Amino acid sequence: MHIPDGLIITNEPLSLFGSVGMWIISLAFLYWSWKKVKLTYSQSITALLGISSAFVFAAQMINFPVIFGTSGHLVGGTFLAMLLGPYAAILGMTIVLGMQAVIFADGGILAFGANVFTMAIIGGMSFFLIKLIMRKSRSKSRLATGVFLSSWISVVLGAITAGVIISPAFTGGMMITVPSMFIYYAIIGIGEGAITTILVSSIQKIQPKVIGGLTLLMERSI
Amino acid sequence: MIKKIGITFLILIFLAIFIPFASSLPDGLEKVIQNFGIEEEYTYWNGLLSGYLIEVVHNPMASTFISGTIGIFMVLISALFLDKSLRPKKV
Repeated sequence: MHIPDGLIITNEPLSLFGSVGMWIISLAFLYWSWKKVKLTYSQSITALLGISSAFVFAAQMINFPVIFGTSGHLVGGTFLAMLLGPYAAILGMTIVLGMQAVIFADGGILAFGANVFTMAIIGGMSFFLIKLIMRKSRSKSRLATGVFLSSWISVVLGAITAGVIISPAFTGGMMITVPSMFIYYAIIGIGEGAITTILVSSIQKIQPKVIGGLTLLMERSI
Repeated sequence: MIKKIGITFLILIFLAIFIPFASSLPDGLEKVIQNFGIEEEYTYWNGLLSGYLIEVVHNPMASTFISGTIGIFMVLISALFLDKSLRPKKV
């Protein structure tokens, strides 16, 4: 889902301003997240942030085949949000996306703001959807349902947003890009949901303390 | 510290095991680009190790694995810098 710079049409105002706008929105979210994490700084969270982001980086390199001749990989936004909480997850995912763009040209530089928004911010914010689904419940099956649904929704929502951002590059515009992105990522999102749910449930069984998000889910204000 | 090194090592093993099975099919976004046959504009930045490959390493799997290892360490180093920026200043 990494938007390359080649899809940002610089002589098309809608495309150029869209990507610049995404940079501004993403920077604002990043600053807000950084402030939030700084307020409740804990060395264990930043250590976990490094390790879990490194895992997400590795997992994003492994594409799994999906139908219609496409492939997908774990995005990992909801996974990071469950481990680290929403704000640290945004920062961790941004590091992953930053390395991918700068070192591997996986995702553009001009499109970086859009990529941070579609994967890091939407992924991190999906935490609040799990919180909404969980309410006060501590049921494991409810948590699994919440994690599955939230990771699916975060991928699909990210794909639709990416569809809007890349639309000026396509002759048919949004009428072409948004439904196409929705269809492909609705299927890829099932893989995201399944992997995230398996990962979270397994860690919950082996090392429940690592799931920092579980404590945060029960807190009234975060 | 030993635990962190252990987990990093496990991530590298995970990468080494799964790289040969990784699908080379286009992802959803690349498929949309393919389907509608559009040509991407000129890109300004081609990365240092474009396509997760290292030119001097001819075996594609080894090349991807080394690129991945570099990426993983760069993520860890960036997280250290982030930690430094977040850490409250000692008075």
